[in-house]
Amino acid sequence: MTALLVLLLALIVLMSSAALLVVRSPMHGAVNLGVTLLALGILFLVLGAPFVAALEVVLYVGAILVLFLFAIMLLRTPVQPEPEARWRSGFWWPVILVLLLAAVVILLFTRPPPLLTVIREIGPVIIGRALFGPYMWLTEAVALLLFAVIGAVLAVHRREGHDA
Amino acid sequence: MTLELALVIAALLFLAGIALILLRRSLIFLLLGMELLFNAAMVIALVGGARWHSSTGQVLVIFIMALSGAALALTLALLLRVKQELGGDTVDVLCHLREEADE
Repeated sequence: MTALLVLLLALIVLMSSAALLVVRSPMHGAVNLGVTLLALGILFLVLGAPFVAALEVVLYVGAILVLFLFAIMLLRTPVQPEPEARWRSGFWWPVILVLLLAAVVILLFTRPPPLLTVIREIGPVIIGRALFGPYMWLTEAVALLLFAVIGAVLAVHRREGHDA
Repeated sequence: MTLELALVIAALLFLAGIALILLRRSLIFLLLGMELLFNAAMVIALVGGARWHSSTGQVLVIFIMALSGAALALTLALLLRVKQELGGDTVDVLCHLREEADE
């Protein structure tokens, strides 16, 4: 049952991320990214991480996707047909590497390692204790980083005539 | 079976992100590909946490989320600045930077 659900999620992720490769308009790309992120939120629920699933919806679909929408609106790119397919001359070496990687993956999965574990749910309480217990200083460092991003964005947008 | 399928999903996300970064010309699609790469890393961290019944995987995912958000805010600001200064939002426009440096 769960395997069927995850298989369906894999199908959704495959289709929407393949659609990202072919759509013209950036707005369609943002919609497809939203579909992928929502499917990933369901996957996180299945993996026993309800707190991270909620954060995925709130932070990614709620904040980062809206940031993308703002950028798309501010850029106002006219949709033009792509001039030519972008197959560069150095295209074949990556193809060979990808084929080798696929062979490695197939070899890995023909003899499946013993991963048959029961997934237990780890709730927000344990995560919160970990974040503000042993990982306290890392959390504070991330807060400092997010504060520094504000200053960095201001510095990026500073003009010569008047300082920001 | 669920964990293996989740790893397959992570591989799909990684491939899609790499393909977006390599094949699309638009810088905004390049940033979308970067987000896909971050999400693939998050799925792998969560699978590890679920495999060993540890909360460390979820803590790592939360830190990855914060880092990717910070990186995205900065790169989107840079993208708007590129549009202002160079008048375009494709990868080709960035070649002008090298020409200006050569002069």
